[in-house]
Formats: sequence, C-alpha cells, structure tokens
Amino acid sequence: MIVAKMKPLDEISESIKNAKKVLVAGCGGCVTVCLSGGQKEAEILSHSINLKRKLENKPIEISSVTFERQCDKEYVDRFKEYLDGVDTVISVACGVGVQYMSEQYPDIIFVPGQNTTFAGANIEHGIWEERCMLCGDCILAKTGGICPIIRCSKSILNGPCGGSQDGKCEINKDIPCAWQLIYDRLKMQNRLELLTEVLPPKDWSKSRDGGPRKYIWEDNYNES
Amino acid sequence: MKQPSRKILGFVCKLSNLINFNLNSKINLAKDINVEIIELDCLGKLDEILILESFNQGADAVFIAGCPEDECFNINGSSSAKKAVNRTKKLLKDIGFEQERLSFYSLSGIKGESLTSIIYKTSTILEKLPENKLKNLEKGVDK
Repeated sequence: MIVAKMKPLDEISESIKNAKKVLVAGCGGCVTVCLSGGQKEAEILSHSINLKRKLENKPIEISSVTFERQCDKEYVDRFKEYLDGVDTVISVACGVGVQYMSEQYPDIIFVPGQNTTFAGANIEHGIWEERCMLCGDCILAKTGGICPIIRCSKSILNGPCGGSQDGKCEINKDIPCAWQLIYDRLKMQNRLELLTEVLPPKDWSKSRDGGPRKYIWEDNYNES
Repeated sequence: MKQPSRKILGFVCKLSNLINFNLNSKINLAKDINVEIIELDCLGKLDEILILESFNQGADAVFIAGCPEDECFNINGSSSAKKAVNRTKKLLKDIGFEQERLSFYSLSGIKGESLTSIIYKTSTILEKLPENKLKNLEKGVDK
C-alpha cells in the first residue's frame, strides 16, 4: 500500500492562509491503514486548524469528510455535496488522491495535507517499510521473492557487493543486505542454482524513464 | 452573583474508583473556578478530537485520570489514553496553545493520590496561566 506522512501543521496552515471556507478530505484507503489520512486524522487536522486560526484571530469555516477512496470517480463524486461554498480543500490522501480530486473539481484549490512517501508493508504495529519501487518489470521470481531493486541500497541485480558484512549493508548496520536475504531464502528453498544466472541490465523504459505510465484494461482495447 | 469564569474539565475512568473514594474531602479553590468531571467507561475512548473540542468549547484546563497502566481493567485503556494525551500535547504546541493546560494522571482510587488533590493541582497550574483565548471568540463551524 501507499504510505504517507502528515505534513507539519505550520506548512498546511501556510498553504491555506487566504482560505475562507475549507474542507479536509480524508481517504479510506491506504492512508487510513497507515494511520495518517483517514477519518480520524482528517478530523484531528480540522480541529487543529480551527483552533490555530481562532488563536490567531483569523477564524475560518472548516469541516472534514472521508470517503472510501479519492482515486476513483464514483467515490470522488460523493464529495460534491460537501463542497458548496468551499474555496480550498486539504486532501489528506496520497498524491494520487490530491491530483485526481483537483482534476474532478478544477475550480477549487486543492492542497496536500500529506507527504506521500513510498509503497510499503506493515512490519509491526505502527511501522511500515518500503517494499516496492513500482519499476514496472518485476524480477521477484528470480530473487526468491525479495526485491534487490528497492531493498539493496545500490539496487544491484547481481549481488552482493563488497559492502555486505555479517548480513548487513555498509550504509547502515540496521539495514539487512538484500542479497544476503536472497541467498538465505533461496538456500532454505533449495533453489541456490538461481544465483548462478547472471541477470541482464534492467529495462528501465518500463519504469519512470519512459515518462508517465498508463495501464489500459484488456476489455477497453477490444471495445476500441 | 458572578458566575465562575474558569473551567477545569476532568475525564475520569469509571472503573478507577477515583470518584467513589475521593470526593469527601474539601478543596480550597479560587471562587471563579468551576470543575466538571466526565466519567468514561474506558479511558481508551479518549482521543485528540475529544480533548481539542474541550478546549474549543471553553475549558481552561483538562485533566485525564485513570488507573495505573498495569492495573487497567481493559488492559490497554490507561496506556492508550496516555499516548493520546502525549499526541495531543504535541498538537497543542503546534497550534500555539499552552501544553500545561493538559495533564494526565494514572493512579488508583484506593491507594493513590486523591481526585481532590488532582483538581487542586490543576487549579494551581491554572492560576499561573492566562485565560483561554478561545473562550471569547466566535465558534468555528467544525463538525
């Protein structure tokens, strides 16, 4: 899922300094799961801004509402009834949500309430770690289900490098060496022969190097 | 007669016995201080929204009192409330509101500090602070 972190209150306040009526739009998707932009967080932000502006003697009208997602039209449409008279929306969804919402309501100012950080997984309660770089050309079948692109600090395809010591990466002793993890996993699965294959240079044209990407569902091709 | 102008709001755990055991003794409070206690079935219910709304509605000081963390009937209620208070204190700092107005006490109603002494302590803190600026302002239209 996409992991995001709330921006400092001062930064958000600065971005809405000229606003008169504000809606904080929460998202019930990934950012709810990573406890940063769901219903509760949207309400807390709304209350915080309300108090801050009152203390600064510049009160504003502010409320919050949260729907399932901000990246699908059917859910984004449901915000419409809450946008009457609203001049600025603080979206606490990921960057996708902020952009998609502003595409659907172009006459309203949209500002992000969060910094979208990475695609990751929940390691333990309250801790998320990056697991995927969204490179568009998955090689996990050849690396025991551990991605060297995102989990190796150098993203090398044929590791480990000389900086791997005692199973840890040279850049930080708290970061496990991805290639050590791959070796351990393949050894456990009796598939060490996979390591004899030299992986060719990666085709980065399927990643961001090929410009903004688009995915079209098969049925849509058939219709056109 | 002049109405009390400063308000202390306390959220107290129903199961902590603080109210049953401690409200017999007298407290010497300033005349303009009004105290309101809200019993919660579990302090785990407490969150940032509830505390911020209390200040928004004019509370000059808020205290939260419940059982010691390792004696919580609902296991995590007290520790969960403590975390919520810490998070709210950070928010208050960002908002520019005095953090001292919010305090947390985890104690046993039978063998710990009394509720009256908590109220007295809070009133002492309040004496040193200016009036809650949010009181005299027009309310925002927050949900």
